[in-house]
Amino acid sequence: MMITRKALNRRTFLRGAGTAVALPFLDAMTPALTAATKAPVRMAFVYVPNGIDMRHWNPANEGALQELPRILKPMEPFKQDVTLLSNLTHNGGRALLDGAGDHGRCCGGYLSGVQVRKTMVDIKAGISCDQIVANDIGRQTRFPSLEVGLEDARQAGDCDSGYSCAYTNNLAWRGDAQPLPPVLDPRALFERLFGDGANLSPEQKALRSKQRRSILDFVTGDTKALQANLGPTDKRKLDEYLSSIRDIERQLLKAEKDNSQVNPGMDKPYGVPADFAEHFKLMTDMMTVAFQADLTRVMTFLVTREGTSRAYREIGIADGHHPLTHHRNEPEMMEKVAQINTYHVTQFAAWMEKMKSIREGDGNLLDNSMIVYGAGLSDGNRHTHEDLPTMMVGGGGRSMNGGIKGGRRIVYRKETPMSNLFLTMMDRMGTKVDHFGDATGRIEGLDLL
Amino acid sequence: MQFIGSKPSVGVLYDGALGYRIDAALGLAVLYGLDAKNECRVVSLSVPSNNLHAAGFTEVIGRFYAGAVNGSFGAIGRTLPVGMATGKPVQDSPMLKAVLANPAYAHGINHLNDTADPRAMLRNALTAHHDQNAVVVLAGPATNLAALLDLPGAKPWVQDKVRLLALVPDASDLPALRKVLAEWPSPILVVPDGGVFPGAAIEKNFAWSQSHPIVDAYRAAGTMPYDAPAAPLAAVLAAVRPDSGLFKFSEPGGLAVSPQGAVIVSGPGKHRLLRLDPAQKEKLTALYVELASMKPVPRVPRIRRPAADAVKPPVPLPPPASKP
Repeated sequence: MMITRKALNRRTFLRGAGTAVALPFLDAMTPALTAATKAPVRMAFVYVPNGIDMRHWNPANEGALQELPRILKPMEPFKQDVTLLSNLTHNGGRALLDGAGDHGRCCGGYLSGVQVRKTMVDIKAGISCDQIVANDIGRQTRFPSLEVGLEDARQAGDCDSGYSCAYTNNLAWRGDAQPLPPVLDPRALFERLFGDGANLSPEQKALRSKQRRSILDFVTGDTKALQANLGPTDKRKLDEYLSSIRDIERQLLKAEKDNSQVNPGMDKPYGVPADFAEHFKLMTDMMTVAFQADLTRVMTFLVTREGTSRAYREIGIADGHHPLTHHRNEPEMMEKVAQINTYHVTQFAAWMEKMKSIREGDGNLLDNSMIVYGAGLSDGNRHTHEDLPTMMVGGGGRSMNGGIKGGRRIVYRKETPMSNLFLTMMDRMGTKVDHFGDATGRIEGLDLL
Repeated sequence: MQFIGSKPSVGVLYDGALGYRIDAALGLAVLYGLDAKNECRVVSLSVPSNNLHAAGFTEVIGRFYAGAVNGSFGAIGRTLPVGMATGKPVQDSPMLKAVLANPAYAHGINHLNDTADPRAMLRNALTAHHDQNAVVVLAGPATNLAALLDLPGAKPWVQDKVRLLALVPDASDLPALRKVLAEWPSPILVVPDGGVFPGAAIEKNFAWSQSHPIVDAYRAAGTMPYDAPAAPLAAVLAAVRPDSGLFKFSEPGGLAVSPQGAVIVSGPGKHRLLRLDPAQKEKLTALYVELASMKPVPRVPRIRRPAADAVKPPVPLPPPASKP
């Protein structure tokens, strides 16, 4: 690392015509011989629908994680980054007095800890914890938050027994009646992150479109100038980072090309890969870059909408996910549910591998993140709202000043509100809130270690 | 909130010194008797003592009468956990030792995380009720109810959902008792005396079961034969059958705690004191025995269970967690 008195500004961008590419956290951003600059802590919520086969999720023991159960097996290489949290409950997901509609309730109130209003018209949920944090720290980044998804984003209509699709198709809520729909189209996400060329002249736009040029081509000058002033470690980091952007662009082009050739009539955005795993990877690659470049510190990822009946032909399952979860204890159906659950975790694990591979400060990007992977139902067959499957991945700032000790399963007391976890996470993000949702307090085990 | 179907029978949240006071156990037995008659629903059970065996004892009684601790917040087919306070740990009583030594009484409470935070339990149970369709019966220290009042956002639920708190004064946590008397939003019925439960009935009326946790608890709680105090039984009856005509009540007023620890009606207010009616003594005693010794009656879930659920038995789960 170069010893300089002046540090590179954390908010430095590589600029070109209509494009501004943020930088990852570089050593050069830490002033030499002064107190180290802390990498920011990030939070993300990854939601999977229709519950999870808990027989293959919960390990036999609490405390140190031994061999992971079947569904979590893909996380084995990152076991020390995993904290499994058991017995967390969303009371607001229960019927209480509102009858059927567990799918609508459990997703609509997942990040706010409230019971949503049963309606298709005058929707009412609550501000979600990600948005509370975004409101607090969002000005420090280009985007206060990012909302990403892979499936249907309809905002109206009946998606579950009288519950609006707004509840099943959104995770983030800016206010009681303001859901933030997830971005589904990779191209749309890319352009949101790196610019859509709005400032280009018509000629430049036409050329860019025709040649499908990389955004990196527009920032070549800035890139060269910066590289000349970086040490070897930072040069490598920057190269890796720019390569990952270039790789995303290649994936985008491939998806768009495939779609135009294979299935021009498909009712999904032009740039969405037909393959679920590819779509997942493309979106999470961009989410990684967004975290890496500190474009945002808060993300939600609705893998598929709650109550989805999506089939997973990629792994040989032609039945819909939701019908399968009402398996009536039929072993064959239960087996398929477990396969879908495992398939989701497999994609997630690949994302975690990517996060962990990116060095940041003395650790890696995952060390400075809190990624919650979970569902609003535990048993999808009976629609239960207690002991929700909840996995925290990441160190929550471990590389800086202590953080979350992973490699454990913590079993809380029964009826412990999920809101307690979110309140504790908000603390760790530096957002102090006295009360949230139906929280009864903070949870133990995520405090500084 | 929407009303789905007809209004169910009143939900009862029972918090008592189970495992330490035989009258609290008898009160719960009476409550399950009324539950079996569909006059009420047991929707929450909690103990004010930090003792896993007391929580286990509570679950034993719940399983005995209801096959599980009973009830549901609205989700289909779930059982309730037992709420347990986490103050200073309390030693086992002879009653607890006697009952839990019997292998016939299985329960699943071995660790703190097998129990629930009573504040969350009580609050969540209330959220599932129609307005004014819940009653709370307190047959022990007021520790858990005082804690509930301190939980942010809980008081409005109590205000909306609870029509009565039937309280048997217990001065062993005086600050909590004073807090509840001062801050509890619903009317309170104080039950200082409920007459007695006849010890002779233990040998006679419970004989239908070879093992009965109430019988074993009763025998361990005192030297047989003896008659047990019955204030919690009266509290349950008065809460579930407010118009039974078995009791007399004071004029409404405020409540205070005397220097001796007794609860007295003082000044204006909406609370009352239950008084025994000598003319109803025999009838009352017979009712105690009848309800406490009732055989468990399987309950059909009020909310229709998806028929498909019952098609096949559940696939066995992995063995229970062996915890360090």
